[in-house]
Amino acid sequence: MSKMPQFPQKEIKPVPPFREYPGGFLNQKYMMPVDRIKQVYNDGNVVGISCDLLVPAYHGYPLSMIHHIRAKYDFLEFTNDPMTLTVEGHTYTFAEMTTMSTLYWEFGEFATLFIPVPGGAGLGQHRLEVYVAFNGNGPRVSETGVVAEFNMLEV
Amino acid sequence: MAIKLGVSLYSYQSLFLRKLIDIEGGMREIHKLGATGLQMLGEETPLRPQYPKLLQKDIDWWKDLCAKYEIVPTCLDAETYPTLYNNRYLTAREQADQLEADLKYAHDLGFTVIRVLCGVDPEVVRLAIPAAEYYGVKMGLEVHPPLALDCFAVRRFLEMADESGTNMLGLIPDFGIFRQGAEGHTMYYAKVMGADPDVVEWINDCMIAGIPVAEIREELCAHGCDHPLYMRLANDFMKRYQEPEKLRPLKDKILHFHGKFWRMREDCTEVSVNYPEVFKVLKEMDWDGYICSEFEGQRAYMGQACPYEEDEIEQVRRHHVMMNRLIAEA
Repeated sequence: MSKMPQFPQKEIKPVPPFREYPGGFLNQKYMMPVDRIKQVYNDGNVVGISCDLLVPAYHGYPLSMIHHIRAKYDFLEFTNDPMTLTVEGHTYTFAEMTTMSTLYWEFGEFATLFIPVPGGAGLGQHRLEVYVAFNGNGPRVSETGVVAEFNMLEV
Repeated sequence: MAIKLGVSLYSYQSLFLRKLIDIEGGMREIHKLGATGLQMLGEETPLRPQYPKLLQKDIDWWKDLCAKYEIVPTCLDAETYPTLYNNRYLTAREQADQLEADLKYAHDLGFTVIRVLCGVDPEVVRLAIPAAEYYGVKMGLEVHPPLALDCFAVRRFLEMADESGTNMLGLIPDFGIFRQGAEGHTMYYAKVMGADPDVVEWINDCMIAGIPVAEIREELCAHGCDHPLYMRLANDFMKRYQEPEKLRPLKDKILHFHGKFWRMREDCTEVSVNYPEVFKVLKEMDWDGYICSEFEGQRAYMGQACPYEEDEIEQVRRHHVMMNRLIAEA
């Protein structure tokens, strides 16, 4: 076996702090544009918020392969239903999507996640985290997460 | 007999994701490089939504573009989805049906080879052989870390190919198996984020020397360098360096190469993959076929905290400068 090279003989400065965001990395930077987070109205009443998501993978996936989507809005947490996902103009529950094996969440196309936050987002600063996981080939299901901090200026 | 060059559209994935390029734009870039081969993933750059559906007008459009930009479709990267449903694993027959759909798609668009992912059960491939023979499209097992050129999975696949008596099966080595040091893109990311450049290079030297990762990490900790940026570099999860000499006995089995790379320097050399030695061996073997650039450096800079990103088109250009230089060298 080769001999270990000599460690640099110098003072090693500590790595400056930087913010580590949670989850996997693929497309995290582009996955959830902050300017596409919106209030959702029904009959003039705010019923929740929505965000547009790009697929956190290097290709599109059949909808049946979405293992779960998890959202944390401020202090509220949601996983799958009662959230919904709108793909190519059609809205599906997560229970429905488990059998949708020929419809794709296409690479580069936004899917809209509706999160039924009671009363929607109030005025001021908020934090939204979204985690997406696809069915894995083993027992491990890995999530790609994204964090957005946004200021709701009007409701 | 010669090495021919191409590009996998996968290399431009962040441009496709943001719709900054389309299939015609990808072909234009390949043509500008003076290359002809095109490799792609059906589900990444589908001709129409809902892969693998195709209409005759899509096929006509594709073939017109190939003629316009002098493109040769080389390899379609097929996917099988054993976990299509989350309550059960697909049967081998169902997975073979997925491969058959890919074989038809490849045939319709003029691809001569499909890539079979390295984790696919040989039984699935065996069931798809009649379709491969019908469509005249070969199936190549991707030899990608953690697989190796002489590992059990590859031997089992080649035995199955011999027993079947077909000439439609072979191998598609990914240049990731010729990586010697730490991944170039991860090293660059670590330096940008504030890791000490000398420590980063030291980790790389240790990896090239074959020092066990546990020992590298122990030494790092002893010097107070236990930051995740260093620990991620000292990582052999997807590293399985193969001596290029191992390619020689596989000459007739190799259908195509995935020209994996992570970071090209300005002088058009790759940071950690042993391209020079592989090209030397391939030329001595008189291997004939396509090597398509597969840039995968995006993995380092797609995190939300990362302040930079690479120019994918420039990275591929540098890769082709290097490959053309290696082909031309005596």
